[in-house]
Amino acid sequence: MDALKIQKINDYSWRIPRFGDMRVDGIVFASERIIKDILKDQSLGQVANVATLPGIVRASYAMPDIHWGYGFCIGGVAAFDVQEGVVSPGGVGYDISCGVRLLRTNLTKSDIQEKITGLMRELYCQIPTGVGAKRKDFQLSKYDEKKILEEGARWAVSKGFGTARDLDFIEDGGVFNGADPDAVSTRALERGVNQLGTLGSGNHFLEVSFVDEIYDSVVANALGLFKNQVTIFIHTGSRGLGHQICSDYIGVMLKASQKYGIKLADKQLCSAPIRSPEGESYLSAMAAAANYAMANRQMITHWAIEAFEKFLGLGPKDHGIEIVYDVSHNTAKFEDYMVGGNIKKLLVHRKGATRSLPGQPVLIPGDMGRYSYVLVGTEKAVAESFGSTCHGAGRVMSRGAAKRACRGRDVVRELKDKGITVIGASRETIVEEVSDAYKDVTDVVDVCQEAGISRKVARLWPIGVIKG
Amino acid sequence: MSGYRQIEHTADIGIDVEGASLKEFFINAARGMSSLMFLRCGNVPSPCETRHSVSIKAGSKEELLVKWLEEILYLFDVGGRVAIGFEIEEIMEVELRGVITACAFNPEVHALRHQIKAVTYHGLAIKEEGGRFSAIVIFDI
Repeated sequence: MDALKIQKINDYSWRIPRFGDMRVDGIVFASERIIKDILKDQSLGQVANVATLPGIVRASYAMPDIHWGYGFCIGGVAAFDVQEGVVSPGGVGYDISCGVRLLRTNLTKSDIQEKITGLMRELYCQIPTGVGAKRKDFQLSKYDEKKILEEGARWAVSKGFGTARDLDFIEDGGVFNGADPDAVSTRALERGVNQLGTLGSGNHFLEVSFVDEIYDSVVANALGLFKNQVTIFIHTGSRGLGHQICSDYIGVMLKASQKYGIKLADKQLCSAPIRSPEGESYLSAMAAAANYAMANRQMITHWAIEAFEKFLGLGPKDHGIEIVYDVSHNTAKFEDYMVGGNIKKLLVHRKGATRSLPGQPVLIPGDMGRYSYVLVGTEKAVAESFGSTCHGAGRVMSRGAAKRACRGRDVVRELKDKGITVIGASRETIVEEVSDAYKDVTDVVDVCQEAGISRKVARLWPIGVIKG
Repeated sequence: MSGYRQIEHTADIGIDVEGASLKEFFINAARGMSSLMFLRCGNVPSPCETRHSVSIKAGSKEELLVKWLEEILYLFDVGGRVAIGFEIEEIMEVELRGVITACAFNPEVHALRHQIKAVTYHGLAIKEEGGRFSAIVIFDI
């Protein structure tokens, strides 16, 4: 990658001109400040590597929260021609359909501020977060697990976890089409059967926040958001089921890459033609994992609402908790875009990137000590980034470096002093997730706003966080 | 070196592993991964130790290593069991037979350090030099 060069296009976008085996340029949405951070790791090399894959259309894209990942960088977007292009599990990620859901309430910050510690403890009790944590009142059968893989959030609603209205506010109506449970291995099913309705660890969380700033009052009003309103963010994905599916299909795709003569700049870019048995099998397993993830967030939502009702003694008409929207970060979707004057169906890989279609809510969580954002998708995103925008803050520091930076510090106390109550299953995870380890999400979101690929609607500030 | 050491990665975690033989290398990799997942913090004897036979065939040494390490994830995710001991009975280039000893996760004995999601192929290339084997293994968390 000595030949990799970057050229500034404008204040918010950069080009990696084609060189070597690249079939298209790389395009990175970033500011001058962010590009300096990006240059510290291998992510731009990964953007260039993705550009070598067959059938890639227009460019290999990267969002401003980019950091290096496996094959594709995190924050990478790549669209492929359905007839000539490939599908790659590395372009989706291990946590298939990891995503974010935002709930709004009728409550204001002052309604819960004094009770926040008790409320967070109740949420921590109700939502399984720690090792082996499970609800005693919920046991998933193997039969139902397969139904979830086909029906997604719709299954959960049919069992009384939420209402039919919820499905209208989840990407794809809460169901990813094309799922085939038979494409999912026994091992993946085994890993998933006890994990539905669990948060997971690492950067997953449930956060109670309040709206502290409104940027677009018209859209905010349409989304039912108002200043000082209490909101709830849920960040989790497909758990062990999705991770195993990705691992299984990386094995399949390594062989497929050889079979179809696909030259790989990186093993984790292993892929197969979209219209091949291997490609179609992966897509149907990926869809199954996406359905599991959406059902997972639906279950957690139900128990979060129960926690609010139990602790605050409020009924649905009082707390008014409803879904604003639910987005996924790690997927490959068939979407139509204008290419060369014609509408073409493409397979759009988004790995650590959010779909950003006109009028669609875009949910961008920050780190646990700082703000998150609600944005809205734009026409410009459709024209310039295959309807994509960032997904979060992006790490800048390794977990080891974060721990060293926090030596002698009481991170939980520091957050409490900022008015944020954190309850976590692992103290080590809380330290590793400290704000210092992340970009300032405002910088990331501002780039997306200035580049025109999404537009700010509201800012949220955390008051309570639970972590696995 | 104890056979492995933790290495830095921006978003995830990894180990630099070595061994004087392929067998020792695979055992050290498993010990290293287990050390990233669990910390033993009590003196209570491990309850209910069980032995799990493992038999794997793969397309390459790297794939063999990934599948071997994935057994640790499987034991924990599915059975709530902590892998505490690793034996390789037989290992060839792309095949191995071994045994993993595990015990039930006990919060009085074990602290969960990281919930590893997957073993990745990122930069994974097992090197052999002078009879010693080494590699860097990155885990998604």
